Amino acid sequence: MDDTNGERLSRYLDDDLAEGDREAVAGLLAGDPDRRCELAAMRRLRGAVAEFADRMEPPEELDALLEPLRRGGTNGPRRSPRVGRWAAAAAALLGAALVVEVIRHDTDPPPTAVAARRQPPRQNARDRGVFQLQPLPTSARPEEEPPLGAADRLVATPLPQPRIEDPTPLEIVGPLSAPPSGTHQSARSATLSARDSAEFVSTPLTLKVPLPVGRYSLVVEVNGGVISEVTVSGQRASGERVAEALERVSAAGIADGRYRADLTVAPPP
Amino acid sequence: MELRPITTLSLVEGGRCAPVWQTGVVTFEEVYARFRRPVWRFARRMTESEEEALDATQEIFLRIWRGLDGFRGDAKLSTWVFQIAWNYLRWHRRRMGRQHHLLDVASAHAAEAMARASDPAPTPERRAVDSDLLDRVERALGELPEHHHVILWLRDAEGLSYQEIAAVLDIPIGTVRSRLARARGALRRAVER
Repeated sequence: MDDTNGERLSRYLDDDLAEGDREAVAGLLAGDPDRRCELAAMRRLRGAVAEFADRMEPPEELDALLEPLRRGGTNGPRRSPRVGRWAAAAAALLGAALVVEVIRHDTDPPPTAVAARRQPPRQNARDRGVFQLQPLPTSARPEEEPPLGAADRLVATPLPQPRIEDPTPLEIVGPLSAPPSGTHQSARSATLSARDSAEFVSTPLTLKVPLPVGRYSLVVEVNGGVISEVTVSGQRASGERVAEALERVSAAGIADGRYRADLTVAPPP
Repeated sequence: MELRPITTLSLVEGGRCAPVWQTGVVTFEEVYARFRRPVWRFARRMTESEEEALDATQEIFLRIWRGLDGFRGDAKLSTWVFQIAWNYLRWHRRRMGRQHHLLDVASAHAAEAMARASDPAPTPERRAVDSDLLDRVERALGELPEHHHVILWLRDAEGLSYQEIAAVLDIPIGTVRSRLARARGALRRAVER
């Protein structure tokens, strides 16, 4: 089967053809047992690949490795123990290589060293400062970063921030209380800025935010003494937690206007 | 439910916040729960050993974690996750000098993975796939060139749409169609050998 027919069958299998083309292929299939066979084989292999994937289970170790991220820690996941073992092995090997090198130089100096030695009296290699022992590397291999790809470019695009002209600092609240318990932490600092309003919130606020460390902004629109609209930038704010925070903002009594809260959330020290 | 980023929050009268707001929130835990298996098995297919796959999976989720704040919902979450995964895996494979062919993982390791596998209720389709065919498919996948292997995997194992595959691999959709057809042909020939 040529490439064109193969592609049409493949697309037919995936339901990617337009209605007219689909009917045309169906007509061809009806009168061509070889093509029906081809399609059946393609379908069977597709099912086999899916079935094969379905049976692949990650090892239990994976959850443990990623536990720090899932808990919202700041240090990233710990390295798997074997990386540590390899690093230790590499460090030991390097250390051994250095020792061998020191001994070799002491017993069998290169010609340049022999020439140099004719003038001053021989000193211990370390005394001469020839061999400077450097701290051993802590990792077996240097970390390299992959080049930016499409997804990274997407990530690197700055979030559109609401435009707030000449924000007036209102109040810096914090450090706030320690995390009560459970799954959320308290913001350590929050800055509330305002525009179009001369009256500001004066009551300290406790803004409870969801688990992971992150930054996000709330822009609050107040009309007729009540919050009429809230826009959130950032992905880490959960609806319930922000709602809880805004209830407190509301209870504090805000004059009509447009407010913005920039939150930086960090784990407790 | 499709996860989407938060954009607005509507409030009810009196300043009380509406308890339900528009969409779900993408937290790392949710992303992890949903993509733990797909990312791991993608990494496993594109690496030589389970240890290497574990390291790669760890790196991929670290990148996801770092980038989650910047995910704006312009792309589907699955596209975004697989883009990150493939960017890393492609880079990793090139660094390891495995650009052209994937190593055959039809080995004790794969048998191990199979043994660990849960045993979901068999469907008629599943029953139709005999273990001999699975072995041959696994071997054949390992023999395919990288560009055939990855496109087959994303489509047939992970169920990504043509559009999503085009975005993940950064190729035109026409190329996805033709390459996938050729990959299927190549897989069939490899299985029949």
